[in-house]
Amino acid sequence: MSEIAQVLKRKKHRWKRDDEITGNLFILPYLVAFLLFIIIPVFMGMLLSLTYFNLLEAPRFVGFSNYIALFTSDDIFMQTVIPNTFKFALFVGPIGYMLGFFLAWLLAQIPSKLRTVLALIIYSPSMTAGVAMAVMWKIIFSGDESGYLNAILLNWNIIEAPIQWLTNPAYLMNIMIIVTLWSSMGIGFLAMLAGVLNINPELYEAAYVDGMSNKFQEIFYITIPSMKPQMLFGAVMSLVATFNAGSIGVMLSGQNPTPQNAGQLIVTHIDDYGFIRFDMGYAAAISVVLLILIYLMSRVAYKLFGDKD
Amino acid sequence: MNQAIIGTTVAILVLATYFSNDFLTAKAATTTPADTNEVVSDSYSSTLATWKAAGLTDVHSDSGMVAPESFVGNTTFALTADNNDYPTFLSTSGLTLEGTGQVLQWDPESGYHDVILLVAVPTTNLYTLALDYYSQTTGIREIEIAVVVNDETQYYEAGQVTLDTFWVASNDFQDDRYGNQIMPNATQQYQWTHAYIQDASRIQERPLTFKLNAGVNTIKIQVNNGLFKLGQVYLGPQVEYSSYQDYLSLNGYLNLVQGGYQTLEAENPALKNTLSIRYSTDREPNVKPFALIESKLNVVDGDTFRKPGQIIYYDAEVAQTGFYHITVKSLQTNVNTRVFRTLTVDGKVPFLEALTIPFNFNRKWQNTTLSDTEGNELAIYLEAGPHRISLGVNASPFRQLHEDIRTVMNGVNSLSLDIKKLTGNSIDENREWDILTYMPNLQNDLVAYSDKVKDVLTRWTAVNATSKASEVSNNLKLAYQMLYQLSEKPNDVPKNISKLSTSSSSVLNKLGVAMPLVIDSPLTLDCIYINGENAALPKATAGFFTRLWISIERFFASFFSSQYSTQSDESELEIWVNRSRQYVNLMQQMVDSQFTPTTGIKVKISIMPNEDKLILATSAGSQPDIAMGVAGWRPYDFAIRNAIYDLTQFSDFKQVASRFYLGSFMQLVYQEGVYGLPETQNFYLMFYRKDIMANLALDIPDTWDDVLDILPELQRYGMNFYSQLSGTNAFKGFTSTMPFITQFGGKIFSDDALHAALDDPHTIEAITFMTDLYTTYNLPLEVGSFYNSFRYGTLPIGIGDFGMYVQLLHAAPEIAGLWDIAPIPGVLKNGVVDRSFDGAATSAMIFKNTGKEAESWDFLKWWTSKEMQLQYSENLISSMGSEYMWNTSNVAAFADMSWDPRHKAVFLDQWQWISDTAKTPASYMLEREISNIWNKVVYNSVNVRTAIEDSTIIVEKEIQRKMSEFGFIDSKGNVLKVYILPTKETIGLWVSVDE
Repeated sequence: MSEIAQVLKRKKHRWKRDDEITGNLFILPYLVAFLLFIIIPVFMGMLLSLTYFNLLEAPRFVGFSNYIALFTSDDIFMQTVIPNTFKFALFVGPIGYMLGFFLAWLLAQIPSKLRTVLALIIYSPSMTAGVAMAVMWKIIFSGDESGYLNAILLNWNIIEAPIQWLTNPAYLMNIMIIVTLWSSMGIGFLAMLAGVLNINPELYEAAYVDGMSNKFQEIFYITIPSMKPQMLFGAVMSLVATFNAGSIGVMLSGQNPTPQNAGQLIVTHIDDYGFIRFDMGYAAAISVVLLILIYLMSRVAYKLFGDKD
Repeated sequence: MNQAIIGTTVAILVLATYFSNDFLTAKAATTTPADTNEVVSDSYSSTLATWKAAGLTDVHSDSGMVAPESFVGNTTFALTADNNDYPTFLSTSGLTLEGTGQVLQWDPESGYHDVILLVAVPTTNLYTLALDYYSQTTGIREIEIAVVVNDETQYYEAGQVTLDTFWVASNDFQDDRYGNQIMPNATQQYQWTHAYIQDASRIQERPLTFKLNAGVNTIKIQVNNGLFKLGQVYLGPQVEYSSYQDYLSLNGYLNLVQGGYQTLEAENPALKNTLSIRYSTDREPNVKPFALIESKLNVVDGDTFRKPGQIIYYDAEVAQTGFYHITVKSLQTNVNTRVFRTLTVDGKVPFLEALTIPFNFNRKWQNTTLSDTEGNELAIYLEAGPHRISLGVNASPFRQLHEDIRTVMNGVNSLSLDIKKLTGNSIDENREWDILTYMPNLQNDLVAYSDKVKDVLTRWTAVNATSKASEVSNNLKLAYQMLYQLSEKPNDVPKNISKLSTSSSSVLNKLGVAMPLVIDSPLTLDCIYINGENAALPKATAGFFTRLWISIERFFASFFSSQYSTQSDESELEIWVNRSRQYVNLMQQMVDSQFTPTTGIKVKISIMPNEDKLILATSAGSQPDIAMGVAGWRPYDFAIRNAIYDLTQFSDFKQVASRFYLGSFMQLVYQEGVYGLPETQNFYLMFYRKDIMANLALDIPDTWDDVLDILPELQRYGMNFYSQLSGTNAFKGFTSTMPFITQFGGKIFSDDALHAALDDPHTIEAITFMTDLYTTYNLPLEVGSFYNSFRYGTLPIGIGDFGMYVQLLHAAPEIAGLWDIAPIPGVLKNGVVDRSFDGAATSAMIFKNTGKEAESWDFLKWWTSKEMQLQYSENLISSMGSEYMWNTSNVAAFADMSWDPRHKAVFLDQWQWISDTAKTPASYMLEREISNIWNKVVYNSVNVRTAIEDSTIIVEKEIQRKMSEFGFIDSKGNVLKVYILPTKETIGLWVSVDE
């Protein structure tokens, strides 16, 4: 018995090893691509952040001085960029996320043909190229009488003179948030829509039999708990997207940096240093900080939505 | 020669000797250039109508001639016996030599040329003027003269006369590297020409006439551009042509020559009177010569052979005397519209019908036998021997329509201005107007205009002999219908003012679109046959199956063509150009045909779609040898990071630099070196609507104070002034902020460039003014498009750039002629108005590790030379259209371009004030902060000084950081090496030859 058991055990081991090799072979293409296009560049970026690199001459090692400068003497970064980024992320992230879930849930309630059409319509802004979008919004928010919003408000006598939506620092950030929300129904939204649709309808029936009385209970007791993976995916996607969505302010106001830095986010700050001021080392340092920030945030998302087991 | 001619000639000769020298010098002294440069706005047509109404006539028999010996006037000319065979020319042209054969030669060194003729005529009548001239002009611009009779420019056209110059090019075309034929370079053919004084746009049916009073008249011929030798000048009655019937009987017409034909390839002319006619490639298999893949130049391109007055000449040898048909294989794609050509044989229009030979619309190639407007084929008498035949664009059948449309447009425009004056610019939808109380004639006027446009449409249909819809007829129809609708409810006109004038679908716009199209006459030519009756001419187009087979062949051949490969050769000079394909292709053509053959340097030019690619390419080590078309500030960023070549290393740098204004180098300087050459120039100019400003009786401002003076009046009518700070872009860069600061005499850097100097009293004054314009004087804060607001008249005056100029010139037909440009307003200092502006557009730079510095420099020298820049400019316009205006930085080339001379004078005037802002490693922070200061003061009502103080702190920090990055100071702020900041006064040290 014991011999047989040992043979079986050995065989199982071999199988396991074979499986591992085959499995690894299967993910090899991805692994190579991931290494080449993600790991190495990120690593290089980290290295660059320790150098002075003006793009045209060879990089020179400067230790942590970029980081020191970033946290001690970059007033714009500490006073404007970080608060701006958090304000932007706070509005766009959670609101966009909730909106995404809410729309997905609403869509799940209607017949499938109409749902496909509507889903496509809601999804399409996120596919549209940023520039094309900015052109449209620029017309709507144009600062003279010919802008749509100004024309409407003037016609209704709500305002007396046109408002410079995109030039006036007081409005720019809010408009950035609105525009980004409009285009935030992306991959996360689709995943959540799939999640809602995947829930076994029998669960709802069972719950109603057990005494559930309204749609709210349905959402909180069944829908959300049974689509946790999609919720997590949506949350992470929306986080990453939010922190990376910076260029909208630049596109809308037509300049980097935005007027009085009103719409300056980390990403635009990186762009400013990297390509306008020719200080790639410093830009790399900021992007490392951004990477850490995103990582920390996604840990929070895991805490909220991740599987406890 | 009849008695009258001799009589007048004698009188003239007598006069010239009769007047004493005192009289002549007195005369000369009064004719300075200034007093004849005033603009007469009456058109020839209206002046002629007035004259005819007063009983004057151009049908009479008085004629005469003034020989050069009798010329009087300024002392800048001399008679010369070096007459280039003038007597021979006269005898071959059937003209009589009156004097000694001497001709007038102006002093080329003198800047101003004119000559005065004293003529006595028996009766007050209208006379044509013709002259013999021998072009001596070297540029490509036409010869421009003005005719002043008795100290008066009698009408607008008389001040703007052009004389043709003739161009000849090799008909043996060169191939480029892919076997495509290259447009040959034309050179001027210097020859004697006998020409009538004609209007510059060549739209009049006959030469211009001038009113001469009975008795002595002075006729002054003033040369505005170019130079020529002048022979005899002829006076006479209006030109008359014989009728076709008379022509036939005069030459004893019996029958046409039977059968047979000879072919003249259109792309092989003997001569043309303009450089702008170009050849191109047509892929139709029956258009010869034909090639499958290569582009053979096989047609005269209709896009370049469309302007009235353009003429192409062909030489033909006829074997047998007799009557022939002339058949033109042509493509005329102006939908349902006719175009006309004038035929001349040996320099003469044979009969009246040959003046306006119609070509009808057809989408396919046609063999069109020249016929009259009724479609009867014409026979041309040709004696055995050589003949010179010409085809010239003629749009005179449409002249009256063109003028009528203009009249209606002017009327409609002033109507709408009057209405706007009453109602202001913002129309309240809910307000009822009783407009007829104020403008009782409004309804009648609108009806009259509607009828007039309808009448124009009727005549348009008649001339084109078809009532099918064309672009012109559609626009005319819409225009008169809209006018009629408006006239039905005149009190609603204020509400619907946009239908009249202020939108892109207004009456004014429709007419404006139609007007230039009416006289637009493109015709593409493949060849010209001189053929007998029933000649078996080759078919104009190939059959369906031939064409199908050709396209299959072409498809497969394209796989093996080298035209599309991207490989570059090590020995080639590699140039990246940030411009569109058309610009780059033309550049490559010019390089291949002119630069490479003379220098042996092979050049490959590639399109660089995005300048940022240069940074990445440089850090990857794959940069080109030269980058062109890069932003004016770009070379500096590369220079301080050691990536590009210092051009002062070349010994002849300063000679080359003298082609440009000193001020254009300000931002190309870094320490002792200069790192780029200016390539193109931007201009800031003041645009204004002549009609609106005149209607409101406002003067065109010269200084900013003048601007402030006209603002209340403008704003009373809901209009405003546009400054470059009113753009939509939130970022107000140096180009919009620095002009103010420089004009006010301010500065932004301390002299050592290590500190910001925003608290300089003049700078504060300038910034305060910039913000006051918006906070106190209410300029529009943000204008979506100044171009559109200008067209619609809401912003009738403002500062625009070169792009705006091109747009207005080519895309705003409804206000053509209603606007003008002036130098930008400035600040009056010591009696001079300072109009400084930042005008860098693009520049060129050589990379440091190219290894081909010498070749690169040779190329840049060649390319930025006056000749090449001029040629490029003309080629661009003639091959791509008049909107491709090349705003070169080469001053001499710019001055010679064939643009509107009065506008060009304004450009050159403004250009003297170019003063780009010098850069330092941290100057971008100043640019940002000046923008932020303006933004804070205007939007957040922060005090100017407070805003400046806040910004200074930020800027100072950045200057310290950047200056220590580049090793000018150490971390404690001690100066390690001096930063040399160029100023307006010192820039000469870098680039000026004398210093």
